[in-house]
Amino acid sequence: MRELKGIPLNSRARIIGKISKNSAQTKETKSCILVTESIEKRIKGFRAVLCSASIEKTTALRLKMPIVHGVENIEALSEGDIVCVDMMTGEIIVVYEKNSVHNSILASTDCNCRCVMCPQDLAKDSPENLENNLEIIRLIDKSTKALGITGGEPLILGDGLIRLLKECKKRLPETQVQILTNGILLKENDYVRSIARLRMRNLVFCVPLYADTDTEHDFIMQRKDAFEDTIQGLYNLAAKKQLVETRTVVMSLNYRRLPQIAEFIYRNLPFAIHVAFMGMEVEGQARKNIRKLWVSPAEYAPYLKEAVIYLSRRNMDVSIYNEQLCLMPKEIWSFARKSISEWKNTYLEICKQCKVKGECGGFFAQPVEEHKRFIKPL
Amino acid sequence: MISNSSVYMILPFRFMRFGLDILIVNEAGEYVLISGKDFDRLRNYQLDTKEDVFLNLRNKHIVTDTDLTLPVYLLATKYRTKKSFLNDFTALHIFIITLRCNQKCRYCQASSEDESRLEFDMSAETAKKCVDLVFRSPSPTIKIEFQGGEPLLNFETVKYIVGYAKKLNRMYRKNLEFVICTNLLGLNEEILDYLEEHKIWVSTSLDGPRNLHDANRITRKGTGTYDLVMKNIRVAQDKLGIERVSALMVTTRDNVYKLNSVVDEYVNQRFNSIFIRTIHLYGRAAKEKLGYDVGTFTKNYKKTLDYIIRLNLDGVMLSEQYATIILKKILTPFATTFVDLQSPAGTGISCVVYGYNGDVFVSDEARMLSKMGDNRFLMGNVHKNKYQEIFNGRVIRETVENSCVENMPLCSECAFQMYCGADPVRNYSIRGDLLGHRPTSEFHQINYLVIRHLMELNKQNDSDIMNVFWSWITNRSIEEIKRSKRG
Repeated sequence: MRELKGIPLNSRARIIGKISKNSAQTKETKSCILVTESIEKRIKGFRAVLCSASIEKTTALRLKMPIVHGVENIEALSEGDIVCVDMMTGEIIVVYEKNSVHNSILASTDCNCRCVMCPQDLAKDSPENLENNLEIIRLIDKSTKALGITGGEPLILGDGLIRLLKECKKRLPETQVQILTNGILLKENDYVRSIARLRMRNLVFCVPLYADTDTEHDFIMQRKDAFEDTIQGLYNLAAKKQLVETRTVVMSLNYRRLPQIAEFIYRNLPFAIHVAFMGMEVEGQARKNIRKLWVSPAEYAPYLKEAVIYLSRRNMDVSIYNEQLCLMPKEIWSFARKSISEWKNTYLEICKQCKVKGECGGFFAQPVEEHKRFIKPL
Repeated sequence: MISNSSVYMILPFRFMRFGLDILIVNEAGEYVLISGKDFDRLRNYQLDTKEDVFLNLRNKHIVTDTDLTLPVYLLATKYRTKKSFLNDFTALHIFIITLRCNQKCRYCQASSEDESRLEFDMSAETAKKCVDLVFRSPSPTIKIEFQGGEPLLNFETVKYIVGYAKKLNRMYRKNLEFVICTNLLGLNEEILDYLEEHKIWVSTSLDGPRNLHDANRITRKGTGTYDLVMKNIRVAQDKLGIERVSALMVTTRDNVYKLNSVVDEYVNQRFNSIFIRTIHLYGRAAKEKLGYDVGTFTKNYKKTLDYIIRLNLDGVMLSEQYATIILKKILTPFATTFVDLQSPAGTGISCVVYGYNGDVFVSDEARMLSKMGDNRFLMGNVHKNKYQEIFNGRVIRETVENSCVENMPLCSECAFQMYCGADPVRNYSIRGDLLGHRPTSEFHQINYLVIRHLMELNKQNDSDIMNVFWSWITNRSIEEIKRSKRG
């Protein structure tokens, strides 16, 4: 997530609010954080004020309102964004961007698996996390097309997740909500039933499937019986008519069996409304284990092509995420999506000469050297 | 020899020699081809659990080296899905509106009556009782198909049935569809308006270009019907839409060597599917010696299938339905709804025939047998029997019990079992018993050879051919198949 920093004054709390650039009072003001160039006297009613200029402490004290001043790069904040401000440190984290199609709620920072290529840094959940997330959902713009619920593993919240979903249903009835989950806890049919009871039309469970056989999948997930539990979870969802998407991160441990994974999905999970194959995000564990996990795109492209064509023929909706067009055979270009969040998304210097850059998904912020070698302008 | 029997377990499967390979099919119809050498290693527990051969077999639940719960659970789910045509009971209800016909086709199995014989019409009273019975079926989908004779000759009863069924359906709220199987000779403006108003599908007959069509499909006076049928197909297509009009053909001794020209005729007449059907030697067809041997049919079928595939690759959208049904069985996890090739057979449980006088039969061939004096497959009569007596009686139970390929001699061990089906009525008419005798059964031989041919094409895995097959299975153009659904 995008982060900004400034100097905090008048408070030591954690404040969540919606960005407004209009200092005039409206009925929304009390849920807003004002972004301004300089402090004026008439400002009142906001949760906090973020200001690019440095201001005198005396001026600030008179305003009696949490202020972060001297904020660099403040123009990166847009009307309607939601930020979480740590008044102890002056850190401003953008938790929702109005102009992005890749917004998500970090429901949990903890997980019941330790996947070998997990890009996240896991940590125990803090108790206020859930309330903060509920507040974020309340502030999110109703016109938002899609919202992810990610982790960690969101399902370990148990009833907490149900509360989050209820809030989504109430505040964002038109938004497609995607839960990114390993699906293991969905083996408990009671849990699936309580989610199904919410009757959310736009809820999709995005569940990883790294192999077509249990030993291999369990190894990648670093958890015994993960495969069996996840498949059971998917069947429980299907029985309750919940929407399911499968996600397969491509790595050295599974690339040669991508066609067989596709086959397994079609024969065993034909109810999946979407199947995604994903380039690995080299962060966290993936960066640590990169030597064991790395496979050159040139090497896995033929397997990826076979898997994608296999599913496309069978009328399955299939997509490729996080891949660059110059590394893929042209036959599967139409399946490649621009899937990387704007704040992480980059291109290489060499990409400037490329004629299809506009259609290409580009990179996560830091592609590894082995990867860069294969990139060429088209 | 080192054995791994403590390392992995073998689950049930069926197999057969397939060229140099062994074809292995699991209980859910998923297949793997492996070399004879690997097959020996499999059965002697010599596979390494890390090698691809093993992983491919484990993907299809043919072996497991870990847990047994999940493979059995997945197989059971997939088996249920494959057999889901059994869930809802009888969906297809065929009404013999009249035995009268204005044609006297040489292969007619329905043994039609002269146009003047009004006593062979289904009366409104009988029709009402039949429709009452139709709605006793628990199936959420009900398809009423009008057959004959020529149903247009007793169109008043057709109209009565449509009206009465629609009235009942206001209460039952089923997904109700009507199809009329007609030679189209008697089509007129008024009938067309009616078909359009009530969204009735039209299924007609076309055996090929004029010389082939008129070889068998003639009027009672003996004149050809091609020109009038052509004209009326066009009129019906224009009025009802191309999708609503389909045609069936019968392969006879006359056109079996010229199936490509039959295909051309279907393309010319704007049909988007053809079903190359074998002849059933009942009624007149048996007497007229219109048959051919199995080898002649399969050889010509394969050639024509090739020809249709090439047409599709040249941009013509025309599917061959016999192949499509079998390919769906082999390549998809779903059930097919084709009542003539399933296990147990569709007789009575998927499809039922109401004769003009209210007799209820398990199939149209059963009605033929009755016409010839053998009531073996007469389930009852709508005027005399209750729903339970007809649909839970001895006839339907015996027919179903004796048409499960799972326990029929030779079928029970055949690797193609999940792709095939049984025809107890035909077995009975030829051999006198419901189970039949595979080595001499043409039904068996033709299905076996066609399934084997399609399996061979799957094995070759030619990209163009597979695109054509999947365009048939999923009813999309080849272009659509190659593109992402998200454009």
